[in-house]
Amino acid sequence: MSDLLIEAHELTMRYGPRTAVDHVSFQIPKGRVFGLLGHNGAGKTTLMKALVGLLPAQGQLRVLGLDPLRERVKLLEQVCWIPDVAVLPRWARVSELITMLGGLHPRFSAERARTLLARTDVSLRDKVSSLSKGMVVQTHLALMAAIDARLMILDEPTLGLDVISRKAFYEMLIDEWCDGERSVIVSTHQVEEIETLLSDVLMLNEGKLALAISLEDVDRRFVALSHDAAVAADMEAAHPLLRYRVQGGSAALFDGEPPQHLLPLGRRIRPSLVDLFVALTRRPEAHRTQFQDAR
Amino acid sequence: MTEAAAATRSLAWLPGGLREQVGQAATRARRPAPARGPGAGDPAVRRRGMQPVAAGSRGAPAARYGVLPQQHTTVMQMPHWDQQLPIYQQLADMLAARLLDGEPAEGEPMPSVRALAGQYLLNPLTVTRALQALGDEGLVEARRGLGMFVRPGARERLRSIERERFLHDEWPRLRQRLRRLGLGPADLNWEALQ
Repeated sequence: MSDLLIEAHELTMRYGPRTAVDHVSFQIPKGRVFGLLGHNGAGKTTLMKALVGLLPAQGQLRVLGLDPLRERVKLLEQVCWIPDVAVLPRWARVSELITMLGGLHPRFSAERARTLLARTDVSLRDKVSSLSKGMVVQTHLALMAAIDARLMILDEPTLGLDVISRKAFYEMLIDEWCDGERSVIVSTHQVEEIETLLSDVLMLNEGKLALAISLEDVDRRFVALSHDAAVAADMEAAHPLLRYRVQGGSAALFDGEPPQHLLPLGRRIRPSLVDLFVALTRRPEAHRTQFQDAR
Repeated sequence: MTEAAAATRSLAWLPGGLREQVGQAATRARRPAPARGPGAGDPAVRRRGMQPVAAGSRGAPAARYGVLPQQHTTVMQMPHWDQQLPIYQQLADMLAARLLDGEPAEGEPMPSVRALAGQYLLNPLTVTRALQALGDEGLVEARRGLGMFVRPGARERLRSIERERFLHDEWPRLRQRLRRLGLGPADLNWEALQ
């Protein structure tokens, strides 16, 4: 099998008249951590649903070489998926969930689940209903990470969690799941928090792919210059992607090398994903009103 | 039903109320694995590694070891990296600052890529690059199948890099400032500083 875990070509998905995912093409190789970034309604969840065969999509889509819609059962043996509406049954004890998954999933290891949970504050005897929101999500991740799969798909996994729980979640994900072979795709709009975790980023803007790039290439392709207010007009005249405030002044973000005459006027800084995200996915609310809750 | 609901609710409070304590203990107690360097998760240790040597030269290209970004002021915050240097470079600087303090000691193994990635919430590729950078400086070496180890003489090497940098970059500025303030050797306290 090839090193590509996901191959998507010209994916288009519609809800009635509204195009939720618009001719999106990308590839996900093994051993990567992909961030799927976009404002609410940008199409993140819709796209993820197509990846796990919950929604049909026009175009070509292969996940682990399979057609997600037709070969869903086979696919889910090798793909872990935590949806944004993830719930665990409130009445169940954690130990019961482990027993249940052991019976349901051929690649699930109860022993590994217990090892992972031992790292958390969750006890096997706990009932789901007695756990905090952060602990439930942590439990969910531990259960999923105990599946010997090749791809993890996480839709807004840390939404509504406090900072401690978020950190614990990502710590477990990086430490226990990522092994250089498996890949993760995680959607979020808390961009700054996961920027450093990512190897690649996909930015969706109103269904269209605004950017698909590795983080290494971000540093190569985009240039940010921090500068004093005195040269703001010069920067503006060069039409940067974005001008924004940074500590101790302003910065201008350029796609590619900025004009030579600007270089002595500013200082190169590392362009952050948040800035790129803002620059490439403007006006989150502008078009929203006419499609309100089309889902 | 009402009884069960009440019981549930009272239980539901428990983890919430414990969360504060859990937060403080979490990094230390829950994670025995990466704490290979003693106190790897200890905030005091991190802060020591983080102590800026010269606040003025922050971000200057020559500011390699010792002058470090302000981060992890509290352990439970999400790590914050500054925008001046590539992240792998910042991590390499932090690890180097710890090596200077003897953590881990020479001949000892470095924390694993995964442990560091988990601890600092970094992509493993970034961590690998940081360790490579330390390798290029001759501070750590890979042992086949065992991971990275601190090379004998690493501390001395680091110290000489640091000395060189101080004498070359910081001292001229400091001297200038001392002159401007009219301060001589006799005005300076050489003992009380630890």
